[in-house]
Amino acid sequence: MYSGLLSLPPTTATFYSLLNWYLIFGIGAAIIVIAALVVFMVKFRYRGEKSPMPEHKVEGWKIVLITTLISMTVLTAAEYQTFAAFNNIEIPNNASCMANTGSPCVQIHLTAFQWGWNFTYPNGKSQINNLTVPAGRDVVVNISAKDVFHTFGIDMFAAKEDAIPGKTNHLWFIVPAVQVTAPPEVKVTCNSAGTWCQYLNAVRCFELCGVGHALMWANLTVISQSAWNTWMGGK
Amino acid sequence: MKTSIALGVWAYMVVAVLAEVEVFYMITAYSTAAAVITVLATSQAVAVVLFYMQLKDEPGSLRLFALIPIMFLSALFIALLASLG
Amino acid sequence: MTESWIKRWLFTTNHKDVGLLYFFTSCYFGFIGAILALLMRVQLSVPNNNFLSALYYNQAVTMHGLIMIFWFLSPIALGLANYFVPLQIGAEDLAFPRINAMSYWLYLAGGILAVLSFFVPGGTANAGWTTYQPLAVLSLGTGPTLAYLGMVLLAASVTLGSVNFMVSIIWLRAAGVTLSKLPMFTWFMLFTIIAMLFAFPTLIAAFVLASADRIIGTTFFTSTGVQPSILWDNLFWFFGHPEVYIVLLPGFGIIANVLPQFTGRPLAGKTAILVATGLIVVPLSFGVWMHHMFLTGIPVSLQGAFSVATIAISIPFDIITLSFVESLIRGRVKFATPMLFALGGVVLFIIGGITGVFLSSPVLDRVFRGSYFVVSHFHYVMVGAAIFGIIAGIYYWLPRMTGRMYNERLGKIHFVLSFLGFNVLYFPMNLLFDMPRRIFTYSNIGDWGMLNGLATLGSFIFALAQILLAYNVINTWYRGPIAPANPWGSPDLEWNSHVEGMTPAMDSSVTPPAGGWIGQLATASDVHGPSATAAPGGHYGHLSSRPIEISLGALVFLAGTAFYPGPAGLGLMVVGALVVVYSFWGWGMDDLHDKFVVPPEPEGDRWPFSAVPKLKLGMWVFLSSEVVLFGSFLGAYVFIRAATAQWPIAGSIHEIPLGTFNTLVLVTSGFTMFLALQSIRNGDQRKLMAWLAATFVLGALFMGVKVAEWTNLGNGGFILANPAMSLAASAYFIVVGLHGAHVTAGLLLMLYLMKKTTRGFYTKDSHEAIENFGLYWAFVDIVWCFVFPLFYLL
Repeated sequence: MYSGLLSLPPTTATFYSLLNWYLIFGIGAAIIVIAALVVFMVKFRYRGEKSPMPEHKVEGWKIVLITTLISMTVLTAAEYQTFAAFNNIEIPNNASCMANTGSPCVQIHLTAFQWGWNFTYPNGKSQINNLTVPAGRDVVVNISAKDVFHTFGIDMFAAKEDAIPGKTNHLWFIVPAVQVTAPPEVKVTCNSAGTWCQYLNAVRCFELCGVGHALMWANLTVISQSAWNTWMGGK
Repeated sequence: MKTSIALGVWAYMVVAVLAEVEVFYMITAYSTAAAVITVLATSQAVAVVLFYMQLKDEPGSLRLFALIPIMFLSALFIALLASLG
Repeated sequence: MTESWIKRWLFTTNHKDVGLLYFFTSCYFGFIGAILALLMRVQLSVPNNNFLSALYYNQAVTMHGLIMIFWFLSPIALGLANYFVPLQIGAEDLAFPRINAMSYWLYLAGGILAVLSFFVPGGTANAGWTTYQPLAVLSLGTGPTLAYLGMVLLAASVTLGSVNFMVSIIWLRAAGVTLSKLPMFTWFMLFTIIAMLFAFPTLIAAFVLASADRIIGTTFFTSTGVQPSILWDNLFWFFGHPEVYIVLLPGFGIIANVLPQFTGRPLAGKTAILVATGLIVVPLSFGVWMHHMFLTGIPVSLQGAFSVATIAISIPFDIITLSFVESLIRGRVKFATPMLFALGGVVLFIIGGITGVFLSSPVLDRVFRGSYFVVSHFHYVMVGAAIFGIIAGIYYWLPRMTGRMYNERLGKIHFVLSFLGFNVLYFPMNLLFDMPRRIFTYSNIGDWGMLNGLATLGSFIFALAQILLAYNVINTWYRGPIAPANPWGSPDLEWNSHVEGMTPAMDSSVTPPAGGWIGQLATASDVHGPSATAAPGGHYGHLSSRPIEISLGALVFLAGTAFYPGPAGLGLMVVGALVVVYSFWGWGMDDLHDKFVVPPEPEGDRWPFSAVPKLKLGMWVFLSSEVVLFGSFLGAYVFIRAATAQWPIAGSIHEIPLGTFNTLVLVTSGFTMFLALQSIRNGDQRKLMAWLAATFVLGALFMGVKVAEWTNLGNGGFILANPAMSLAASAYFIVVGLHGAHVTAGLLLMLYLMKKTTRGFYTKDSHEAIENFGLYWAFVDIVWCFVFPLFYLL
C-alpha cells in the first residue's frame, strides 16, 4: 500500500511491522485450521455403510494440551511484539524529545467540537480544521473536547486518541520530512520550494458524535522547521 | 441459631453504626476515617449475611456462589478508579 | 381464533408456548433490524449518496445495533432455550413458569417502547448502540428516552429469565440427568445465563442513570467536570464485553450439540470445552472490557494488562474451536443442513476470532478503533458464529417442534447463499480498516467505493437468503412430510419423548412414549400442556393473566415516564403503577386460592445445590444479581466522588443524627425479621404475626423518616436544579431512591405475608416464604449499611 520512495513516519513504520507479525500469525492460523476442517470434513464424509466405523473415544486431552501450548506460544509472541511497539503509545516528555530531536516537544492543544477541530499552537494562534506541524520535531497533541465524545485519528501516522469532555488525552507522532508517504485515500499537495505539504483530510473523527460525524475532517500541513520557527516567532 | 446470637448480632450492628458516626466526628484525616468506616460497614454486611441470612449454615457451593458477584464488582471498582488516571 | 386460542397465547406459562412466542417475536425484531441494515447498506452502496440523511442514518445505525443485539440475538436463543432446555433436562417446565411468561412479556414491552420511539417527533435514539455519553443524554426528543427505557425493561426481563433458568437447570433435572450427562446446548445456556445474571444489572444501572439525566434532569453525564464519558464506558463495557459471549455462547452450544449427531462420533474434548468455557471464558469475560477503552487515556500499564487478559481469553476459544475440528476425525460426516450451518459457523468464528486478536493490541487499535475492521470483526462473531449456530439449531429442532421434516435441498441452498452472502458482505470490511464506521457518506477515495459496493451486494444476498429460511420453516410447519420420531438418531432427551406427527397445538393431548434414553423419565412436558389441568373455579391451572398485566402496566408506566412531566405522562405513570400493583396483588391472591398449579419437581440430581430448596436458591440467585445492581450504582457514585474536586462537606447537607436514628431503625427491623422467622420455626404463628408487624412498623417508620428528610432537603436547596448541588443531589436521590423502592416493595410483600399468616398458612414445617422474605429484607439492610456511611459520613 505504501511506496518505498518516501520516508515513513516511525509510528507508521512500527504499526506496519507489528501488523505484519499479526497478519503472518493470523492468516497462517486461519489457513491451517480452516484447511484442517475442510480436509477432515471431506476425508471422513459418510460414504454409505462401507465407511469405517466411527471413533468412540470421547476425550482428546492430547490435542487440548497441544492446542493450548501452540496458542500460548503464538499469542505470547504476538503480545511480545505489541509490547515492543508500546513506544507508539507512550507519550514522550521534554527530555526524551530533546534526546530524540535536539529540541523540546512541540505541544499542540486540540479541542474537538461538534463538528470540527480547533488546534491551538504554542504561539497562541489557533486553526480550525487544519493541523500544522513541523517536520523533524516530536509533536504531542493534547486532546480534549468541548461538547461530546470524539475520536481524533490520523491514520497515516497510526495515531488515534479519544477526545473526551472534561479530560485531556495525549497523542504523539513525528513526521520525518515535509513529504512523507500517504495512503491512497489522502491527497497530497506540496509547494515547489519543498517547505510545506498539505495532506487533505488526513485527520478524521472515529467516534459517532452526531449528524456531522461523517464530515468531521481536518487537513494536515507539514512545514519545514525553519518555516515553523518563523511562524512561532521565537517561541 | 440461638436467639441470643441474633441479639448479639443486633447489638454489634448498633455499636458499629454508632462507631461509624463517632469516627466521623473524631477522626479528621479523611482517608483514615474513610478506611475505618469502610471496614465497619463491610463488617456489618458480613455479619448480616452470615447470621441473619444464615449463609454460615448453607452448603459451601452457595457460599462460593455468593462470592462471585463480589469478585466481579471488585474488578469494576478497581478499574473504575484506575481509569481516572 | 377461538377464545381459548387467544387465552392460550396471552396467558400461557407453558415453556414451549413461551419459547415459540420468544422465537417468533425475535424473528419479527430481527426483520426490523435487517431492514435498518439494508437501508444503511443502500446509503453506503456508492460514494456521496443521499438516500438517507445523516440523522436518519444515525438512527438506523443505533437501532439496528440495539434491536439486533437485545431484541433478536439473545431472545431467539432464549426462545430455543425455553423450548428445549426443559426437554433436555427432563423437566415439565421451568422452575417459575409465571416469571418465565413475565420475562417474555417484559421483553416484548421493552421492544414496543423501542419501536414506538421511531414514531415520536424527532425520531429515535441516534447515538449508536453503545450510547456514548454525553452525546446520548444530550440528543433531544422523547424518542431516545423511550428507547433507553425499553432497554431498562429488557434488562429487567433478562435478569428474571436468568434467575429462572439458573434455578431450573439446577433443580429440575430428572433422575439420571447428572451434570455430566447434560446436553451441550443446556450446558452453554447455563454459562450464558450466569454471564447474563451478573452483566445485565450494570446495564440497568447505566441506562437508569442515563434515563434519569434525560427525564428528571440529574447530571451524571452532563457535568463535564467528572469525566462522564469514562464512567459510561466503564459501566457499559463492563456489561458489554460479557454480552458478546452472552450472544455467542448459545450458538456455540448448538454447534457442540449438533456436531456429534452428524459425525456419528462423540464430541472431542467435551470436558475440556466445558472447563474452558465455564471456568475461563465466563469469569474472564468480566475482566477484559477495557480493551474497548484503549484510547480513552487510561494509563499505558492498564492498556497492557487488559491486552494480556484479552489475549488470554482467546486461548479457551482455541481449545473449543480445535475440539470442534477434531470432532470430525474418524467420524462419518453427513452434510445435512444443520451440520452445514454448524461447520459454517465454526469457519466464520475462526476468522472473527483471529481479527479479535488483532484488536487486543493497543498499538494496532490506534488504527482499527472506530473503523470498519471492528464492524467486520464483531459481525463475524455475532452474526457468523452466533447466528449460524442458531440457524443450525432451527433446522435441527424443527422436526421436534413441528413433527415434520424441512426441505433439505432448500436448506442447502439457503446455506450456500448465506455463507456466500455473508462473506461478500463482511470480508471487504476487513480491508476498509481505514474507513471510519458510522459515517453516513464518504467521498470516492481509494478503494472505498468498490469495497462498499461489494458489501452492499453481499448484504442483499445474505438478506434475501433468509427468505428461504422463513419459507422453509412455514412450509414445514404446515405441509412438511411427517418426520421420524428421532430423525438424527440423537441420544438426547428432547428426542426421546417425541411423538410422530405431533404439532405444538396438539401437545396437550398426546401421551409420551414409554422408555427413553434414560429409562423412566420420558419427559412429562407433553402431557401437561397449557390447558391440561383445570383448577377449581374454571381457571386454567397453567394459565395466568398476571405476567401480561404486569408487563402492560410497566409499559404504560415507562411510556408515561418518557413524557414526564407533561400531564399525559403523569397520568400514564399513575395508571401504569396501579396496574402493576394490582396485578402483583392478584398474583399473590391466585397463590392464596391455589388458582395456579405449579408443575411438580422431579426427584433428580441437584448437584451442586442439593441442600438448597428451590425458592431459596432462586432468592439467592436473584440477590446475587442485585448485589451487582447496587454495586454498579455505588461504583458510579464512588467514581463521581473521586473525579470531583468540589463536593458538599459531609454533615453540611444531611442531618447525621436523623440519619443515624433511621439506620438504627432499619438495623433493628433486620433483627425483628429474624425473630419472626425464628418464631415460625418453633411453630408459633402468633409470635410470627407479632414480629412481622413489628418489622413492618419499623420499615414504615424508616420510609416515613425518609420522606421527612427528602422534604427538608428540597426546602434547603438540595435539588437537581441547584447547580452547586446538582451532582450530589443526583447521586443521592437516585441511589437512596432505589433503596427506598426496595424497602417499599418489601413493605408490600410483608402485607401479603401477614395476610397469609392470619389465615394460618405458615407452619413449623412449611414457611419457605418467610425465610425467603427474610433474605430479601436482610439484603435491603446490607445495602443501607453502605449507603448510610457513603452518603452521610464520607
